[in-house]
Amino acid sequence: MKYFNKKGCIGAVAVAFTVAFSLAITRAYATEGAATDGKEVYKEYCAPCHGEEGKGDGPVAQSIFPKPRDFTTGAYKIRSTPSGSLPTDEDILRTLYYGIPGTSMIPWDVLTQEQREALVPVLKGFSEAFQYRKPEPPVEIGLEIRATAETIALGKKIYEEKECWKCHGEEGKGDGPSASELEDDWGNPILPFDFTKGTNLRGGNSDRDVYLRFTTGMTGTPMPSFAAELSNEQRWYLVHYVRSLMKPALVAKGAE
Amino acid sequence: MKGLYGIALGMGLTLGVIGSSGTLVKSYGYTEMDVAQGGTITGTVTFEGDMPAPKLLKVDKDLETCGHHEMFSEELIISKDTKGIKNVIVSIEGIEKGKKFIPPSSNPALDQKECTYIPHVLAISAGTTVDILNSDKVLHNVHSYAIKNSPFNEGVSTGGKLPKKFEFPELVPIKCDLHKWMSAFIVIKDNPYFVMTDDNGSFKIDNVPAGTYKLQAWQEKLGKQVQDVTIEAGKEVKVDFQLKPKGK
Repeated sequence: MKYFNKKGCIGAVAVAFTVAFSLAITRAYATEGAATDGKEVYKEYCAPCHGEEGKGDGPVAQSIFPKPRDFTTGAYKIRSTPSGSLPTDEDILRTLYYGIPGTSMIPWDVLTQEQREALVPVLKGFSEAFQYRKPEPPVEIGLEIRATAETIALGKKIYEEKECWKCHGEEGKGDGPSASELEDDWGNPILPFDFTKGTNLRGGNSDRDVYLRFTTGMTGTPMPSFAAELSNEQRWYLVHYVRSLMKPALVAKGAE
Repeated sequence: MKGLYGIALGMGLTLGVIGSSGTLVKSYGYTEMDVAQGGTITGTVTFEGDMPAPKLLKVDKDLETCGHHEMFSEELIISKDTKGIKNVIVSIEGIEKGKKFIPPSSNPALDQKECTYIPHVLAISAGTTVDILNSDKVLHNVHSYAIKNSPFNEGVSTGGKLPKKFEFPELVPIKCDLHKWMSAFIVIKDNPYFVMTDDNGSFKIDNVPAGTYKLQAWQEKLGKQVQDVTIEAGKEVKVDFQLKPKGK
């Protein structure tokens, strides 16, 4: 672990919790006299972390891990669209509504739908990328395959062949040989997901969510897309194997 | 990786790509024409200062594939004899009309071999598709850092071929997160007046209509330098650049 020791990690998590907690208090009042002007909503609820100009440099950003997203590059982590594409408005709304588990991005279900919708053009307005490109159509999720011992074994083979283990570790603990030196696009340290710890999958816990993450990649992070590398069947095998790495109790709890 | 976006933004050209309705309109403000009696610019880009020692890369992964020999950084290659700098991109900036784009007969390739990008710097015209290849026995993730173009990050396994089209003029760094020493640049230009310097730092740009232009030399470690250059019909003009380390 080059960038952080365990203590540092726990410290960062503790700070993140504190931030999330104080935000949770804030949000208890959110719906009262709700402002629907996107810029006002942004300033009040988003700017403390993401910064007034969307650069991910708000006053509390420093004490948060993982770091709040810098919106100026148009790089959105959780998308339904192919690698490199901008997100759809629905993708942005989804993240606003559900938050990003395992990070300080809480679900903003306390804001009204109107308020969340008003935020979308504000967020997009921070990046010139939206002036150059349009989001590509969402990737197709092919016919789902039932998980069996055989599909899990096939998924394990893909996990080995496509070198998922290099970051996520041979047992899925997020401790592969490249794990300790990964950085996001802004040079901040970032950890590969530890599947054995369970259900805080950043983009959601459903099988379809897992399928989407390695199909679309997670822009701004080292997690690439494997869309060109895996067929629909192979992607489901990999979903089944990744699921099998999670502790059964956690899987049940995290299931939809 | 810090600062890459800064470079990318800094290199960004002001172009009329956005229509009033907000839809994508590709007009780079460049018009193709037949150039009669074009002029030629020749010159060299040389290094000013003490010769830096070659930078040995820390290769600590997949040694069977990547560790055949010591690997040195290609971020700054200077000829010992002439002090000429290789892989500098010399370009005319903001030229409004001139010679036609001649599209390559096949897509230019960016290969990954023994965990190095070949070539290290690839200069292309906007709208060109690059075939990203993997000649290695290990998987590489091809992570591009772009804003105008798509900032993709895709796994490419042995024998893989990933075609990617670059629509907009931009400077796009390419990295592999699995092999952190790997680094390349794709430079996308909005007009056909760009070349890369050879081993001795020499360059030649031809078929330039008479006029006064901004000639730019860009190098990834040394930054850019711009000079005014006046071309007379049918004549050759010599322009040299001396680049020195930043902050000195």
